[in-house]
Amino acid sequence: MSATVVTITSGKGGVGKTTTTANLAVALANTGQKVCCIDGDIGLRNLDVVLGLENRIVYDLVDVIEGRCRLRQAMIKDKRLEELYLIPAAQTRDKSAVSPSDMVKLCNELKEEVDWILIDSPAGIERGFRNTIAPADEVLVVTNPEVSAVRDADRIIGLIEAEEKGPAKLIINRVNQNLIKRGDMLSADDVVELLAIKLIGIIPDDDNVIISTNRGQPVAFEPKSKAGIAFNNIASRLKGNDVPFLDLDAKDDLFSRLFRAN
Amino acid sequence: MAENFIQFKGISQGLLVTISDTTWKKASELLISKIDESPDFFKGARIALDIGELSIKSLELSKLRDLLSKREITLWAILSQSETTLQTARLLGLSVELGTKTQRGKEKTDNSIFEGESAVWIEKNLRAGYKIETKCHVVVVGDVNPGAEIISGGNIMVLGRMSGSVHAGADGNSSAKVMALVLEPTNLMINQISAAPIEKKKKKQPEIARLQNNEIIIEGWENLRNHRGVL
Repeated sequence: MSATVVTITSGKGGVGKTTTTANLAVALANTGQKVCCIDGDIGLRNLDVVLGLENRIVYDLVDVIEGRCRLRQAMIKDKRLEELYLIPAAQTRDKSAVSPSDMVKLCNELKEEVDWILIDSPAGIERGFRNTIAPADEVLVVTNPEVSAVRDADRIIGLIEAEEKGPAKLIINRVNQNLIKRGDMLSADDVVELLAIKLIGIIPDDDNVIISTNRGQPVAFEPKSKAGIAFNNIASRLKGNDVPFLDLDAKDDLFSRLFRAN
Repeated sequence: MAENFIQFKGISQGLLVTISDTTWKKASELLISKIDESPDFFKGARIALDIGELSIKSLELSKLRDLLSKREITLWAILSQSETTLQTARLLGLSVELGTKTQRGKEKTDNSIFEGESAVWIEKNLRAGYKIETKCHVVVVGDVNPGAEIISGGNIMVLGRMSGSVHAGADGNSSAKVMALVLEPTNLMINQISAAPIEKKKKKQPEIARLQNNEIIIEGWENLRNHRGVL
């Protein structure tokens, strides 16, 4: 096996990197792929919470890198999905505990074990970002349809290009069709026109995301929620399938029909 | 020992530092340590760096430039045989040739208007956070996004959407112009004079901004053809 390393990043905080990572991991693992997520936000870990694996942490990323445990020991196995693993971040250390070359080494070792490695990047453009971008084969930039988030996404895309990791692909999260219709929100087209990179997913604004995040049960498990469908579609696109984008104006019943058709 | 990979040579435009047979990391560390040995000698110096075939990224180069500028040394040119390195240097607004005296002399006989007739040519989108500062003209084939900044001693031309911040003729050239296929900059200055806030127009057309009686005026392409003289 040789895994594809996908890093999920954004520049700005709070746009949904961790939620996206957790949901893509679930969506990929749901189709029988072997997936390992890595929480790259050392010192502020939360991917474990979103995945509902918080109470199972024994070893973390820094333990592996500093040789206190073997890679396998730090991989927490999910109970719901056979092929889903998480390497959590250390809570008590900071970003400087890991270097970009540590991450490359760790991912090279892990590549033999799984099909997908998803890395959740911290916000910002400093050390933590560099660490998570170094081993990436593909980079997904998450943004919201807000001017400030788009500006930061633009900056981060430039940095990704400078690191020769481009071209990144774009996920637009929390798209609210009603606000767009009233002209109060940037549309997906506006965002894509400015950032000029390939769009790989549009996630509608959906209350289910918050509810499921709090429960530690990612929304990708729920085939009826719009956001869940959107995440499953991105996973499918990552695997190279050509999936049409959701019609966000459609009624709920049509959505469930669409999903069944998939 | 160190002299093997780093050579200093005085040239008319400052110091030429030649690096050979080593890695970028070693070379930059060595350069800094050399400078720190005699800080007074180097203070205020202008350095051109010849790095042979080493290929370096903008991050590495900007880091060195920061280290040098902390020591009040200007890195103004990068010479290299690597296309990546040259791209990087251009991206950071550094010169990629020394522009020897003989060449300058020739230009003068061609009625050159001001120094630095060469242009920085960039074929990509300039994203938030990029800053280009150069005495040369700047040509961008691509968009200039909000948060990107271009400061040029000459003209600025954007074959794309110009929505960043621009300053043309920054060295005191009041005949400098800014032109773009879509001209919607967040900030527009020509020779230290700012334009009034520019509103987005419905009709997108190529436009040119120039100075007239110490005020910036913006004209559509069509308008311009009626009085060619201004170009």
